[in-house]
Amino acid sequence: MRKKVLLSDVVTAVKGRVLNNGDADYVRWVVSSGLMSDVLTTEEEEILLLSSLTTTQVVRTADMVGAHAILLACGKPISSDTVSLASELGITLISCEIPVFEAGHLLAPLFFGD
Amino acid sequence: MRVSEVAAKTGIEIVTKSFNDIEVANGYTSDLLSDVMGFAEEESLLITIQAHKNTVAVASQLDLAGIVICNGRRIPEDMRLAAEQEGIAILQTEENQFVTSHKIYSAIRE
Amino acid sequence: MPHRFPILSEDSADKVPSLTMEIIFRLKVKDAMMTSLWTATKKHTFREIQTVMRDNEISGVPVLDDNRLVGIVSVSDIINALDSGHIEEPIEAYMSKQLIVLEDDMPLSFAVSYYNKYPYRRFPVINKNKEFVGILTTKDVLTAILNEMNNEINILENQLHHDKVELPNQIIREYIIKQFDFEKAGQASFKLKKLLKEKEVSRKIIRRASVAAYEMEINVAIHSNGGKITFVLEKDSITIITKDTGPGIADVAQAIEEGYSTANDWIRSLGFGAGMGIPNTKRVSDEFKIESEPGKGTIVKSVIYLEETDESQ
Repeated sequence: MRKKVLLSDVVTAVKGRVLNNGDADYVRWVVSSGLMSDVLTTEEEEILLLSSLTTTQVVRTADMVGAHAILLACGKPISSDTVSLASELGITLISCEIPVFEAGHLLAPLFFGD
Repeated sequence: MRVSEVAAKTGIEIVTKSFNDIEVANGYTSDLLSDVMGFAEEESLLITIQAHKNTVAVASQLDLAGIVICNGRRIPEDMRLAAEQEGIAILQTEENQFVTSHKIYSAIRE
Repeated sequence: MPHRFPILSEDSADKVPSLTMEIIFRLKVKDAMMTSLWTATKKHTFREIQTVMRDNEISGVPVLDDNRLVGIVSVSDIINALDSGHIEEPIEAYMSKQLIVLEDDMPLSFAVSYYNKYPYRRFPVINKNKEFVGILTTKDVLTAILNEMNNEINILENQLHHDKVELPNQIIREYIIKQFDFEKAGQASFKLKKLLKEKEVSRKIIRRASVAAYEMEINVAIHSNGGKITFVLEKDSITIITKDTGPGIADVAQAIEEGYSTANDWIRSLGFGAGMGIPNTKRVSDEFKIESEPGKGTIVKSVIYLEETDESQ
């Protein structure tokens, strides 16, 4: 199983803002996608879902694959519905201003190696 | 760094036979074409799983350097032909958008 | 002379859906009225009441003497007071005393007829002992009717579960999926996930079932005119079935192919419609079947065994 990465380290790496604290304080891998069906194909466990899509379906999809957290990139506006669904489902919601491409790069050192 | 050099450095395969081997300025990771239309900068490599002819049209419109298709998604024949016609490189990798973004970022910035 | 009570004019009564009629006869004025209110006494000045109206964005204040309703001050009374220069005076001498009131036990249909009969949009409500208990506005009536209709729909939807006969060791759940309802789509899958957790099904199986159910639910919301999703949990398997009311798939073989999609741009902009839904569902299913008839509808069935099989590992 992949190593645990603390969500606090994720927040620091991408200069993110925590919108909702979920049940878990770590993730093991990142899945980056704007297509929910693509996310549903992942076999990874306890993931961070990285997306620039901010609808409630992102939260529902995260829940279906047991994701621990969602990182919403590109500083897109996030509706209160999305935040309240995440808190209802116990999923951590983080937002950051940088694009997905750069966020992926900044997160990589936390997840790669040993 | 040119498209062919990025491919060589990252070990990602180029699947189009002919393309304009231009300098790669940046990367943009997105699966939403409307988002790409709005925000991708020219001469960027688009990292996506949208293996679709429309992606070539968007890339051509925005003068992107190329399209990197992730998760080993199959590239339809009409997409490959359209890309060759437009001179846009299509690259293909088994890795996901996260790992690919990191590899390409590292290749062009470091 | 006895007075026939027109609920609504005869023409319009025909056009009111019977459920609405039933609701306005069933609900009482007290079920709809507002009870949290600003009230005044005869000694208050128009100026004081005007301030309360402005600060609280209200358009009428009842005047009470103990619990008895003795008058009402409306916006037009305030305007008159400004006009005639008695704005700083106590309201007693000027307030409307000819009051049309409703009783809290009257059916809401009475109130609806009052709105037809009188020019007012707001009626004070008293109880049997002639004590003031609230105010009923047209907005309150509408809200009460809509709330009650929502309840009715919930009752109807819940009845769906009980229409199915469950065999021993079998749990059946059924949910309605509405076309393009992206806010609600996924709720049925969430409920399935919860049910499987309660039944202590293994995490891997829950995930596969969740993915299948979610893709199937989304497909009905995106591509069909609406339909329903049914979960049948048995000892050895979970079966997920979606059934929609059309328009059907012309070429099923093509629809199963990865990357094939008829979704339009705005569906794609929501993160769906990449032609992965059916292949994804098939991938996580132990048994998968799709039947469709153009013009009629589509039935998709996915079965997932609760015991991990070797090939699904």
